[in-house]
Amino acid sequence: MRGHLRASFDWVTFDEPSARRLPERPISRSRVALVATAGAHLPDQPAFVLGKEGDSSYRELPADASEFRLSHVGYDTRRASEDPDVVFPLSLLRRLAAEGEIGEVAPRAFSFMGYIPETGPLLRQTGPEVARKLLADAVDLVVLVPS
Amino acid sequence: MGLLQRVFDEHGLATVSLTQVREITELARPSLACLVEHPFGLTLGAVGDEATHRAVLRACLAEATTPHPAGTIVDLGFRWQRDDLRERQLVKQAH
Repeated sequence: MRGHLRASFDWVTFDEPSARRLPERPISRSRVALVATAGAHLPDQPAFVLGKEGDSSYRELPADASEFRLSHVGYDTRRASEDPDVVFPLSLLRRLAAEGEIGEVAPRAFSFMGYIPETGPLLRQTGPEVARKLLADAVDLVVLVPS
Repeated sequence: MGLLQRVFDEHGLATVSLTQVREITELARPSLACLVEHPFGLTLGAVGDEATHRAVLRACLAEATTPHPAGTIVDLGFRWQRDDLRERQLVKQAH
């Protein structure tokens, strides 16, 4: 990524892993939330910004959303536009819920666009905002899907 | 993805992520990641390959309930064998 889109880019690194928390209920009874960085959004939501500065904003999508747009600078969105489950498996999660493999899909999914070279706003603002919303939704497990 | 997962971890949420590149996830060190060596933009598998999509997601969910140490990257064993798209993406010769 460095030199390709933004010359000053550098990876943020950590010496220690973040703490693990196991779901408190079996997956078959858990409320599962999807958070993905595929740049998915509803047709009537604004697209993500695709410039060199990146975009740390996010979109909320209701659990029953079925029509998506994809805007992302890091991969060819034409393939995933044919089958959003490959990067934004909300429909697949609904099927797993209907079949009893998970308890239920959380009421809203969250979508970011994964090119975020300036990570400060993500770490200090939008990431914590989404975390608080996931806590408010009482999710048992968050599944994060990159693209 | 690893940075966002760390934020969620720090808020006390139970999380599991997919990753396509082990080396990038090793920098962020989130609580638990599952490696699938699929191309960018095809994280769960090929377009229309629902069997693989399901297998990836089921395996990921299963690992979420397994008591791995924090920072574990589990190789789910999925490899892209349809073409050389992933290899070309990794050397910036494909998008």
